[in-house]
Amino acid sequence: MRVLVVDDEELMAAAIAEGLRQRAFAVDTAHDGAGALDKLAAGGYDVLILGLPWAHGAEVCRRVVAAGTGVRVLMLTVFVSAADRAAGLSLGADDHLAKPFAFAELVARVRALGQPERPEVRLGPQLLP
Amino acid sequence: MTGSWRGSLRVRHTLLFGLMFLLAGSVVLGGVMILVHNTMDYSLSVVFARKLEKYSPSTEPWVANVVSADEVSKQVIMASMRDNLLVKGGLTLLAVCVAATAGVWWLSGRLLRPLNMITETAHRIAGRTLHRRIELAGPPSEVKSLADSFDSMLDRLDEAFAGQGRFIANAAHELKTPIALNRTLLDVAMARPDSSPQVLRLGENLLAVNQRHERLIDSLLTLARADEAVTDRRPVDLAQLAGHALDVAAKAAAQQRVQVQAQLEEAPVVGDPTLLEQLIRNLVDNAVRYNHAHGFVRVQTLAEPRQAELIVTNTGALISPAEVPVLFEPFRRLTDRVGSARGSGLGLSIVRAVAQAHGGDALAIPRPDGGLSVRVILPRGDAPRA
Repeated sequence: MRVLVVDDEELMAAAIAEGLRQRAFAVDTAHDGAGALDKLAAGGYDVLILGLPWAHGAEVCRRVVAAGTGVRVLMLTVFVSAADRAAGLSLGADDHLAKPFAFAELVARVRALGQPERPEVRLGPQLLP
Repeated sequence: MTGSWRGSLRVRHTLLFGLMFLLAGSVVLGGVMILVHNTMDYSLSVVFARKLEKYSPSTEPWVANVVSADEVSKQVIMASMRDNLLVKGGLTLLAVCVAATAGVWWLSGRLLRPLNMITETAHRIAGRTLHRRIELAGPPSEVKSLADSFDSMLDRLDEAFAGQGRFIANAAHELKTPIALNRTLLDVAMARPDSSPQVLRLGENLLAVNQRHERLIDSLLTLARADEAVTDRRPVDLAQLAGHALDVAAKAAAQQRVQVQAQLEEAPVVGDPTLLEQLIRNLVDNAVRYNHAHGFVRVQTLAEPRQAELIVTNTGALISPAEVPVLFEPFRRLTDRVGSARGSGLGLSIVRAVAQAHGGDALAIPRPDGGLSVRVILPRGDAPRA
């Protein structure tokens, strides 16, 4: 599974990449929105982990979703209030994780996102609160 | 009109004016009566004297009779004059006095209306909405300048509060970024296959420290949010939240060998579910943490006609009533409670801040056998939708 990790904090991107590589993911990193979009344009990624500051992250997320490349987007944000989370999902992100997170949880979510989609197990709108 | 009868400026104003008017009127009436009396006395004497000036009392003996008859007529005339003046003048004075008092009542009402507006606004602002202003319309006047300075004071206060909230939120955000980085670096480093046992131990310790920082910053954020006005208001049942908090705390309670008792009755309120959950969780966590083995934690929720209550009682160290206010201050822990460093020192400050942000309050009463009973009172909301 190919993953692109984008975080403006280089150490953070490197650490996530190292951790994912230990678990046999193919990982590339980028540190800003432009770099991320360049790499995404080359294609071939299954999951995008987006840890940019809110304004940049939102812009990248919007473009990725608009491009319709089928890349699943996992947003990493500091301080997720219910409102932030809703805003992130309304941008079309597939999942959301609040920093700081347990690495095992990140791995689990990336794995889940990378699975081929199975509509029957996805929550229908009637099950959402 | 606001305020009690005795405390009303309008009533005092009107009574004082009415009294002064009555007094002044009476003085004038008295003066008029004396003046009329003297003038009449003099005029009648002159008239009667002139009538008899051609006759000498020594030669004509009937003059003395006429003089005494004149004296009697004068007394009658003057008495009738005095009575007339007293009754009619008094009635007129009374009528004018009543009319003037009514006028003053109306006028002072008009004059004080802007002041009442200011008072009402101040009352509303005391309920934590710094966004309201008096915005008194009308030409410049003493009251308008009071209202305007009040408004500009509110502007600055509002700004200061907003600035403080922003500062805390930004600071917490900036502090969380390196903590998130630490956490990931440690998680990844500890998962390396070549990590030595020493590194693993160090990593675990650092993770624990990092988690303390995380909790502290989360608490700060909660406190900062609670101090702002509650924006997200939904019907919430305290009993449900308490049940959830007890589930979460069950493991810690079992580890500490603390018995958990729950008496949860439906207690509907309207508020921010996240903040209220934090409130209950803080109380339950505290009650478990600052307890002794074989002690108990009792969580009660109940609804009164106008308010919903949450009472969390625990056994533990003796606390003197004088120490209770300290418990609610941020970053203050009682000396014998410092034993555990896991708390952020913000627990009860958050509880009170959240309760007050919802129009309620939190009170703590030490138990005579040690431990504490914390009572949170919130305005009752409608029953939550099923």
